[in-house]
Amino acid sequence: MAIVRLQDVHKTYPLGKTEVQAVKGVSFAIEEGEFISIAGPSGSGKTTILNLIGCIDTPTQGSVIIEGSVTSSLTDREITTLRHKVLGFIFQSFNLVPVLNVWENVEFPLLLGLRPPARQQRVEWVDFLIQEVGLAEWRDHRPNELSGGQRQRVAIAQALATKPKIVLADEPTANLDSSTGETIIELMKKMNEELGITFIFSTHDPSIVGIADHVIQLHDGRITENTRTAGDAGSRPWER
Amino acid sequence: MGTLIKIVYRNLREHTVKTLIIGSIMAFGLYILVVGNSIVDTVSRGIKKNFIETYTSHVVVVPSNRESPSIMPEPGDIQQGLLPTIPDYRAVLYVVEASRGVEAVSPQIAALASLQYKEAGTAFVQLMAVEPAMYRSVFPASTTVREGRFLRPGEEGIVISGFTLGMLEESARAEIGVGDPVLLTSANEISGMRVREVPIVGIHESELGTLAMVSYLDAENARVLGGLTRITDIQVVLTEKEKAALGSVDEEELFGGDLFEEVTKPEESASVSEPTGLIAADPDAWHFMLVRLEEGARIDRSVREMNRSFAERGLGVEAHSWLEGAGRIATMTSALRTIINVIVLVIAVVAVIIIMNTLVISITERMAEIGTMRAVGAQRSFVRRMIVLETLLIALSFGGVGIVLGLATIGIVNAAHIQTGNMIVKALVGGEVIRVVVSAGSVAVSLFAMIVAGVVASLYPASVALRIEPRQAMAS
Repeated sequence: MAIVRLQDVHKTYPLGKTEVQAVKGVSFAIEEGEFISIAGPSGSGKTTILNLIGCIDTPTQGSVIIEGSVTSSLTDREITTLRHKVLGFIFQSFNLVPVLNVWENVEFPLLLGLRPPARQQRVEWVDFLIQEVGLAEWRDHRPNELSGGQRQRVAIAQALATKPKIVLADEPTANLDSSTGETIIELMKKMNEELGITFIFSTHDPSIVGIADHVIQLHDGRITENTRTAGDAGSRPWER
Repeated sequence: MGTLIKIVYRNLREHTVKTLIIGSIMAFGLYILVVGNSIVDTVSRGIKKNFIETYTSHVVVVPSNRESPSIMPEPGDIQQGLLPTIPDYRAVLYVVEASRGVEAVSPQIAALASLQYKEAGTAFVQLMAVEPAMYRSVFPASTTVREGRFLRPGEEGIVISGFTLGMLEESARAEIGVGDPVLLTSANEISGMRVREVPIVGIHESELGTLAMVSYLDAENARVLGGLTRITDIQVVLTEKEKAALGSVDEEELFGGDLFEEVTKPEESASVSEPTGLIAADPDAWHFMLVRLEEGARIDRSVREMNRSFAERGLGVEAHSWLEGAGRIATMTSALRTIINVIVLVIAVVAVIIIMNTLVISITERMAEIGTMRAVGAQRSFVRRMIVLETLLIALSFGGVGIVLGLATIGIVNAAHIQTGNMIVKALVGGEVIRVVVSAGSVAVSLFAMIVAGVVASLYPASVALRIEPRQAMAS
């Protein structure tokens, strides 16, 4: 069963006295464990689709179904709980809680649930994640003491803390240099393979789209291509 | 909760300027509250102590048809003869003395007169007539007799206040002392003009400003001056010598009829239609009764119980607490408290607005942080708790500073042993030295009020924070 399903989704935003149609009748499904790239130029609707999947926004028309739940029918509390249990977020501007250090930022989502894990269990898991993203030596540093790449690593560890089924990353490499960007995508891919977590990331950078095994290409709010690849360059639609 | 407190604490440290702005306002607010409430408490206690111990006692019993229960009647009421007496004094006294918790009772008469010394000088005098033994049992130390002595039971005379004596001496340009006779003249619209000559028995002084201007007169003369008289059938029998001394002078020729007509107008209670007998003071005529309660007795309960007994027996009197009996002075105290409360309210409103704005700015700056928290699963309640907790932490820590500063200021004032100087301040603070009283309850209420103000101030900023969506974190 698809973990994410979009059915004829439309999203219209008011812009002054006019309206902007950001998404125009998009339908697709994402299977659990996939590593998906939503690609396309600026203004194509990538962020809107991620927001819709992340229950950060609701569709004007159509439905977004996450793990069998139609998001537009959920209350704010249910949506927040869904975000906490099922979804993880990685932001373009590496948003972290500035007053918490690396370790505390990764631990933070674990403390928000109704029944947080026991301290020992939490410590082991957070230590493991920080080790995995290569920040063991920076665990006591605050976000403003880290580079952009390091912050994004913290964000990845934080997004994985609650063992979500889906991690959404909105242009995670946009503010990074290309080599750091590639490292981040590789790290995400590694976590996808090791932990079986579904990763959905948006990008307009063709050079990193190739790592994805499922690419949804957007243009002007519509899907132009929806391709499952083996990750080889020959099947990359933007290289054809 | 630990993480929440950690985030709140670090955020406050991180945004030092905003924390200091909000904190300083709260510290200042609590400083004003603590000092202001302590001043009001001190004045309230001072007035209560002074009035209960020297002037009103705990409970005041007045006729029901009195407009105000104040034991210091309006001069106009006295001049117009509108001050009613206790209808059935002996029955009322019986009920009061039998009431639970009553220690002593003192009836009183209030009168006004002009004072004259050998036709040389005059002064206005406020008179209080008491039953000496009963008065002393209610107020053992209300006044100090600096010369002479206090009135003895049945004795005619005046214990003049030092203040009034000074005025009379100044007017008469003479030294007047104990034993000298003074002439008291009073007039009211019902009983006309009355003149009595009495000797000065003593000169008294009191720390309470109101009492320091009052002179004590024997009840008999006070009743005559106030027109509290009745017709008696006692006939005066003149000796032959006295008749001869009167000669052929006719009183009609001397004074005309009008004046005496007024003087001898009978009281309503008189049973005769024509004034055929002599005018005599009514020994049961008293304007009010002051009641001293036993240590620990509750004033409100005693007042309630007495009023129930009065009503059951239809005695036409009412019991009131000392505060109501104190009249205008009590109004002054409540006015002082109102003024301080208004000042506090204005400060609170301004403080709430400044705190609210500062918090809104702070939240707007932290939109990404709050959006991120919401994105990773923080419920709205978590965000609300965070904002309210921030304000509470500031209120408690800086409020503590305000309390300490307030207590320090009061400590300095108390240590300075400032003399009260004049009678009014003395009456207000209840002694020679200004000693500000701090009550723990008052400090606790002030802190609670500041916490409430803080929480109120954080409600709108919290609602702004609750509107922040994770989308805003992604966009920022």
